[in-house]
Amino acid sequence: MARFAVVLTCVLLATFAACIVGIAFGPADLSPGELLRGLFGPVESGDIAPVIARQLRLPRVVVALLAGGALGTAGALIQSATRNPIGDPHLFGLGGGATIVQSTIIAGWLTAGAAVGAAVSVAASVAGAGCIAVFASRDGVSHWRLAIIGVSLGAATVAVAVGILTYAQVFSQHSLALMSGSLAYPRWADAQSILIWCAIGLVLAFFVAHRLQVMVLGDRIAARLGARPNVTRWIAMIAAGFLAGASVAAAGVLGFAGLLAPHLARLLVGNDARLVVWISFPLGACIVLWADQFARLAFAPSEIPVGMVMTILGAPLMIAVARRLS
Amino acid sequence: MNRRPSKSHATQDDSVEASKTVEIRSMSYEIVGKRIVNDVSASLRAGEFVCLLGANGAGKSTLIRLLANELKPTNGTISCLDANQTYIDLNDAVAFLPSDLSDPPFLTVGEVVALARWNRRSESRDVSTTDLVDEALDLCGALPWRDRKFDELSGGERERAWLAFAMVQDRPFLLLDESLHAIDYNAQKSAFELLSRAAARGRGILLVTHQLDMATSTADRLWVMRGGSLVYDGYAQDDVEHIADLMRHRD
Repeated sequence: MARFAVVLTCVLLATFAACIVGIAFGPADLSPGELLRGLFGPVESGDIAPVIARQLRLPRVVVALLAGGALGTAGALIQSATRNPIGDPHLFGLGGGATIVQSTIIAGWLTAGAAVGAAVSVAASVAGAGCIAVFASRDGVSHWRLAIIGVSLGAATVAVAVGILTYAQVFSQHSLALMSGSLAYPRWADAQSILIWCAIGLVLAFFVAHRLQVMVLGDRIAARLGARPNVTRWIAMIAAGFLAGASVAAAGVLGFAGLLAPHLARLLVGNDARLVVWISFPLGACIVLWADQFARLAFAPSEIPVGMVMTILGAPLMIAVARRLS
Repeated sequence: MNRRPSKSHATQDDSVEASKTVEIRSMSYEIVGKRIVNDVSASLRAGEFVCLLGANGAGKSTLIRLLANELKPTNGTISCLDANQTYIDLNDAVAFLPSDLSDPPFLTVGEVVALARWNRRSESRDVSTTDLVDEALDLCGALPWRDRKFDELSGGERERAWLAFAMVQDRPFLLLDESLHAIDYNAQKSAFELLSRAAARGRGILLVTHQLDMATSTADRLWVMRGGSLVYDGYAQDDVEHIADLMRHRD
């Protein structure tokens, strides 16, 4: 536990540092004085500093924290519940339903504000999580078969989402942001509307974390120890659905964060599923936040989608995990 | 053909009076009208190492799953009695290793074995868990791999690690379904001896195995199944030729 506390402190400090970078730096050069005035001072007409600090940088940081944390925890839950090292909300198609919902909103087929849009996305994502839970509960579904089912489900939903956008002839920045994962259009409304879903997901995760420890042993042994593997898996997957849907609603398809965070967590805090679930939220938030700083600042004033940065980080890891699985 | 189970020796019966027992009474198990286990009556006593033999499809795995409470008998009963002859919950009395265990991902061998002490209620395991784990791993000859990833072990190494897992569970009865078939001859020999010693220290052990020679030389008692019936229940040395004959396929 001492190690966990040290790691948690370091992750929180790193996350805090990323928050500072996210608020202090950007294409618009604000002096520290302007920044502080923008953040805390009174809003005067014609003053650009409060708009940049409060309406652009701060909500972006908050959305990155929530979306990244949600993906990290969702990945940890999926990996433990399905005993699958390549568990990830997007690889397993959980975010797919939410992506379709968001694309219909962008296409103008579904008129919904941030709150309703997030709620419908979460519902679609929970349905996807249910599909995976059904497959994972079947006897004899190997890691790879489950992964192939998930990847197929994910690919199908992406195809449908792209199809909807193409059919509606919407090729806007927003549609690109959805499909490649971007935090470039931050709104406070997004952060507010996903907060409740993240909270529900985390509360459910809190309840199953203890039982998730024995899920790695397989259903028969877990059942003998009294862990009720089916119930545990369903709760964990539904929690992952809430979290994945929330992250898609706010940040689009942000791949690999859910894969990266739990694996990094195991390196840092060990293999106890409970600790991995706990640390994956701050760790996912930290990873996505730093990736977003790179996306914003590396080629400023133009920026690349944070989803691209995550993929560049995540792809080698995915290959490494696959090699080890043999 | 339905030879009744032979009576146990009198000396054994004396010591059994005061120990835990799993009693099977005229138990049958049917699935879609097919009888997999047919009218089996027997008892597994604490302090006894029993090997369950039989050809493939004889009903061994089904019988052991019934004993493990994974399946419910269609007819008859299984009950577990403690030393005072009061009934105890079968689930609390039995540790079971199924034959088709899949490898736990992520964890090291030591971490997997420690999970045997996992408890639904308590958040933290007791401090002695580490010692118990090391002790069990050492007994099973798996201590050198304690810090290796479980899914990197070879087949035989995994079996010994799982055996340690079952030992750490600390239940009076241990049911092992072909848990020792991938390990080499010497390791198998020491595993059989280990089970025999564990039985001598008061556990009741039932092992499904195809190793007749190992079973006759180490086990306290042999059960042989054929076509769903228990056709032999007796001492190993009695009748090796006859047992070998019973183990052959019917046709």
